Amino acid sequence: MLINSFISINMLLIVAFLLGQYFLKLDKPKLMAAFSIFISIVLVFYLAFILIICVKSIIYKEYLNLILFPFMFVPFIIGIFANYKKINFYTNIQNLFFVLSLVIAIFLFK
Amino acid sequence: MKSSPDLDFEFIDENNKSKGAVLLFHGLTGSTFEMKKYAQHLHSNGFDVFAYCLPGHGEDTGQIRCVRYIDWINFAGYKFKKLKKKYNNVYLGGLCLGAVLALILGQKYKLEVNGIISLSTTLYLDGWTMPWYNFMMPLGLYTLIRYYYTFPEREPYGIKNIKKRRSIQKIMGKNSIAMDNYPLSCVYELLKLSKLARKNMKNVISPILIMHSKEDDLTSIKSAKFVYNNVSSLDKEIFILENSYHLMLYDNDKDFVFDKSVEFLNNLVQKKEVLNYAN
Repeated sequence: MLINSFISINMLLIVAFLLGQYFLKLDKPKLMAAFSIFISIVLVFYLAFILIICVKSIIYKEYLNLILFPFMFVPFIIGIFANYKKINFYTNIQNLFFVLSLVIAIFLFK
Repeated sequence: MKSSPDLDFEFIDENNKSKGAVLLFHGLTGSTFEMKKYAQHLHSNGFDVFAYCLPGHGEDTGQIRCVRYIDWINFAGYKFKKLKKKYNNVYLGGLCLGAVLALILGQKYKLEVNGIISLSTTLYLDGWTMPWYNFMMPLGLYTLIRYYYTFPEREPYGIKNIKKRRSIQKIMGKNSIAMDNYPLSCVYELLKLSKLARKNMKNVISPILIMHSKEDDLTSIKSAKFVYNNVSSLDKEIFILENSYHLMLYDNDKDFVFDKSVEFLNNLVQKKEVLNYAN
């Protein structure tokens, strides 16, 4: 169930950031604010699930699953380098990593 | 980035008898409009006053998400150096982001800056109107989410006086004068600027006047106290206002702020005259 939830959240995050690129062009602050809060909550769940999976991996000595751990830091590393002029580029890079984490999760647990 | 020639202003004494130049910087998502009455007061007391819309502000708000804090520093530095070529005495003043910029220029140019007026200095975003989800701010600030989220302007709009608050509320949203939202990416840049200012605060050696509202809704008096306790200026004063919020230039203590600023500048002019006479 944990893995299914993580996969669902991961997919939701990819869709959310793809939609976000469209929303940015609408220039509606209130809609963007609500959308941002939604993305933030989904991102929190994404990070939390990775953390739980990694802790469980250590407890059950399934160390291969720890390969997901670095993905916790990817949104923040991209955030450090990102700028608004290339927002689409950085969003695509970020989504690439989300897709990668999704593929790894499916590969490890299915 | 575009400039905002309609909003920028320069109050210059026609007879070239001013006591010096004052360069003012406005706050985040604001414009020179918020400094105008203050500037007029300083000018009526013998100073040439200059104010320019910062990058991403004024008519240029479409670009505000593209602005980096270094753009603000470079712009402010350019304007300061330009004035310094014309005037022996150049004083800096600023509100909110503008105050932080004035401090950064003070750190960089040291005694070339003849005095600093630091109003509602925003080194920390810890005012009492911060929303309940403020604890999630790091998640927003340090990821791509900062380009999506904007804080809507909300009550009390930085003003304690209700009548003035309503009149300010009407002009917010006319983006060239004042935006009605704070893009989180701008807050991010402000916080980076503030971090830089805090790191080098001891490099400020110019005389400094600090004024901050006890009930500032955006940034607590912790910011003002940090400045006061960490600058190396021999000549420093701090006043905590009892009856205003963040936008003190419009609020109940406005007259005190205006008069204290003039008093501070006049004292500096007098001291310099005495020194020149002594030499």
